[in-house]
Amino acid sequence: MATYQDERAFRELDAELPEPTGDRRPPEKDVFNHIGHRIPLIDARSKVTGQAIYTDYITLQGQLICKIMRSPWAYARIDSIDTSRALAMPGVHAVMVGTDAPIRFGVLPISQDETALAVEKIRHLGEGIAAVAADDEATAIAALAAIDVQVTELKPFLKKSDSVRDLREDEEKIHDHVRHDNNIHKRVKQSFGEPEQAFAGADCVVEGTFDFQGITHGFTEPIAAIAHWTPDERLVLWTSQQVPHYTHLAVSKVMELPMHRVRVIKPAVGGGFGGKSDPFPHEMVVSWLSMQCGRPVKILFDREEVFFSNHGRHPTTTTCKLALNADGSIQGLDVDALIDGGAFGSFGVVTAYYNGVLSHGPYRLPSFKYQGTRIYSNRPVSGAMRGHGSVNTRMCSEVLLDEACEELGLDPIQVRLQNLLPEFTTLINGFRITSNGIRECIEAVATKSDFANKHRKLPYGRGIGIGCGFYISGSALQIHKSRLPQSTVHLKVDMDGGVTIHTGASDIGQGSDTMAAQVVAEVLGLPMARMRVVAVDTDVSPIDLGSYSSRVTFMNGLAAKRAAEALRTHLYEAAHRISGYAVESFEMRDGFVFNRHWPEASVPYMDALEEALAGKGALATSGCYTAPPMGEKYKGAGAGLAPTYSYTAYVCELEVDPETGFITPIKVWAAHDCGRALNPMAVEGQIEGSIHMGLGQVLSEELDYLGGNLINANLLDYRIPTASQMPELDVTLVESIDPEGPFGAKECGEGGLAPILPAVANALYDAVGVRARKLPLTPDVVLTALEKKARADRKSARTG
Amino acid sequence: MELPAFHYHRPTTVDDAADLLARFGDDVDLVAGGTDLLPNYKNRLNPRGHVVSLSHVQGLKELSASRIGAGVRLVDLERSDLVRRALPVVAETAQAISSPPLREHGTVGGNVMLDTRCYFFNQAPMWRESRNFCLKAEGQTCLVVPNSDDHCYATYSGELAAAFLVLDGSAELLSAQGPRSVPLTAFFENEGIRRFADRRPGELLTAISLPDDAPEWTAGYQKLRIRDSIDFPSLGVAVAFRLDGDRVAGLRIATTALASCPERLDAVCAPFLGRVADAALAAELGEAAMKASVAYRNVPLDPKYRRKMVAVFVRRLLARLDGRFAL
Repeated sequence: MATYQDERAFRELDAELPEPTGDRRPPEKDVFNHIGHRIPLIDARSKVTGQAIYTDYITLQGQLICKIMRSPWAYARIDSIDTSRALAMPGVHAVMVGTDAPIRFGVLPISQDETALAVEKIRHLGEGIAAVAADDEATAIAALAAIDVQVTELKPFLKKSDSVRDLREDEEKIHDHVRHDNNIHKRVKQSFGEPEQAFAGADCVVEGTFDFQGITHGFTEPIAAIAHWTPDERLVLWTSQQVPHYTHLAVSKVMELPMHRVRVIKPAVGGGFGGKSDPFPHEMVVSWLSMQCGRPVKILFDREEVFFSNHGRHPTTTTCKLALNADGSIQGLDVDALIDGGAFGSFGVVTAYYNGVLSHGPYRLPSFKYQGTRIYSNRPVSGAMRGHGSVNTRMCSEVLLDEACEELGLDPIQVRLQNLLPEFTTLINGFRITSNGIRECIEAVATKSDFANKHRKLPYGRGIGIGCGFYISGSALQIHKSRLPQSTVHLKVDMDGGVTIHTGASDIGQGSDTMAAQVVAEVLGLPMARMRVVAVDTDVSPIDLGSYSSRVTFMNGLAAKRAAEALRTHLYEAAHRISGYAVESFEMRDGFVFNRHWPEASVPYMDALEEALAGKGALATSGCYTAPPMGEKYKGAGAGLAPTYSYTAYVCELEVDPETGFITPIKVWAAHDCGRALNPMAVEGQIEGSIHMGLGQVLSEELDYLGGNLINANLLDYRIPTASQMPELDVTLVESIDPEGPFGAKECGEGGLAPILPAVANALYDAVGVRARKLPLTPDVVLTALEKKARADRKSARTG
Repeated sequence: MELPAFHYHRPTTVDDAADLLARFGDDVDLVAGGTDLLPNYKNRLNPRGHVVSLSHVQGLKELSASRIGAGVRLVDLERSDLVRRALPVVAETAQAISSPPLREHGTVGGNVMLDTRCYFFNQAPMWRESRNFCLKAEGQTCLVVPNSDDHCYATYSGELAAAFLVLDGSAELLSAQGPRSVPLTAFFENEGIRRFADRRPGELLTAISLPDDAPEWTAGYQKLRIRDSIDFPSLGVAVAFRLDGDRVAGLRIATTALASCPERLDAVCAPFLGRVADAALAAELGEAAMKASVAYRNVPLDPKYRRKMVAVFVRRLLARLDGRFAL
């Protein structure tokens, strides 16, 4: 495989490619002390011993408890709210309604459509109407019951088809800012190459409409926050967040406080998966209540409230068409996705793009047509969830590819291999492809699973299927356009010799703190025990945009690496002053500023540090990452642009009980190109977790609505697979050594989710001959499909 | 969310517990493992002012082939050598309930007396308010079958009852008026709120008794659920039979998680007595059991599907328990 060291191969592939501007130096060495080692996460002990400090574990002196009154109506106009009885209750300190903090906010500057509590209108069942700060929970609940809300109910929009059509006379659109007389939030249309011609001329066109239910993240730690309006008139907010920076911006806006008077702290977070990656109404609510009371105010969601907050994967109906020639070459892809955004915008504009643009890999598409429609409805809001925007469309295109192979009598592995994108290329939509290990991924899973000897050869009821994918490794484009870096890390070293890593990256359980520590320890040649991470306290940490779009290892890792390299320079200079040897002769190794030519001239780390600190005080350095300019200029060209992409191939073998419809995954062979596995144990954990989460979406998870009511707003009825349902997993890490990533690394947290869905669906077909068109594939759905197939088979036997 | 306030009582004798039940009338609940009651209390589902704990009551943990105390934990049933040997269907059923951590707490009595479940009932207060509540808690009508004429269609989800039914067990009850024994076939009522026929005030379940011939029956249980742990049943089927040579001499089927109580399908079984045990019988019996079953859309999985699985489960259980039913 060509790598960045092999410049010629790179140039020959594409002379037009812009000059990558990352770390293009060859690595100093290939043998590392920490990088590539299986290192337990640095906070693992505190978590497994129950000592990690999550938001709800923080108790402040004089703290009040907040409860939010949630709407039992899906769509209603607020006529009046009378809070007087609640306010008069002993133990109640403040009551808040929507008009108290009516400034709109949202994670995207173009979708500022949420408020702290409902103002004028209620848009989904479970939306906050009023909030109380009281001495304790019981008082707060009693006070909520004393609030009198009068509403006029409106006709809710609960079907996707109702939101795309023009309004009828008795209807009122959910948001006034929607341009037309309907509830379409965002419509994206794209066309590259000549799709009409491609479909007309292709030997084989397969088509299908797929129905995906909404799903949610199911993180363990419920949403929680504490706000404290301090005596020096600053607002301090502890919050379980993936994106403290966007919360910082939004709280500052809604509370009308300059950013420097708001301090956001992220304690330990018990999972996010995208469900904690928006600034949230409850953060505004506790902030406002604390400012009213001058006392700390805490909120902890019940699980039902977490479900109402949702922000999970959009319920989607996707019609997809794929054109192939008889030789197996892909001619074009046509995707039309109708996605239900629920009541608010959230990341929805991005989702509308991602449902299309993240289909551009890992195969070369000569033509591509996309229409994406994100609608508003009177349901809890949909947002970003692991594999954001890519998962549902990936399921469609990979299943259709399997169908096309079947129709053409071609081998699904060979067809995939022959259509793969090469390394270092540019796509029809302007994406810049650099490192790419998809070929190794497919070959690994095909070989290990013995795919060729099993596919279409297993007995009835047992099947094998493949699914592939690719995913962004960080979004090159910033949400808020600015010249500021996307990630920054500060390092501080004082006489104790420990290295303090100040990072704004949000460790939400994925291990970003460990990643930063490993990178810095590697560069400085020091043991991990000298590293300490001080993460996300906006008074102390530099800004990182947050844990979303699989950006942290790449961007924060580079920032950490650069900060450590700057620190290293100080130590080299100190060693030079002590030993007289040239700065260039040193490297950091095993606790020494090591002289690679004259080992006896090496300087112990602590001696070099003393010299470096003399007359100067603590060393402090900084490193940052800003994505280089890339891509084209058309509208929406930035969506899906990433400094690099990850690649994944999965094979799943499963059993189907044809009498009950139960699917039992037996084994999954997984291969993921993560550039370089900085910490193989952590990477494998991400891949295994992605498979688990994806199996949930394909087999059992769905947000089950009855009208506006979510029937299964609890972790009993929302069925995340248990450990006992997990198949055996075989994870292969493919290292394509990315030319720009830190030590060659790229993402591994999200890209590994999508391919498991089509791998299961294609294996289902291999096992019993039915095609998945509706998720989740619960046993009743599968059995219905089997019965339908049996009827069709009987009919064709009669007529044939 | 915290539990609502209630008075908590910890009697140490069965008689004291029965006295407390009698004293507080309709305003009292019993709690043993708490795995069902406490989540319901958190959701404010018919909380009472008094809760009587059975954890410290002596004499509820008897365990023999003919008597199983109400206070016996599910985990004790599944691990008991005696139960596994003499009453394997009971051990098998216990092992299918919920998840290992909850079986450490849940008891026989709790599972037999389990409250009925329903999508419209097991919800947070705000959710129920949005639908104007349901008949089973605070509301006026059943939301599963509107115009049900004050009939609640919530689904019984206890599982041990199915096993005990096919072994022809009885509920041993105690009240201030003294003990009595009621066959399980007459114990339950197919109505989601009342749940029990002829339940007398202040009466508590102390044990399940089984006839002496229980170990002579070949019996098994199969559970339908999407995940193979944690989930309540969407269907549970227990079968028991005795063969005389290759002919069926005794046959019982019980289903759970279809109606508001577990049901024994004696009328379905009767025509099959005396017939040769073979695959045709198993298939016909399954079909007949399915036809006798009714399910409602208020627990996971489509009702039609759940009924179809009655036929499959009956057939498979028989085949698993005795190879002659597979031939």
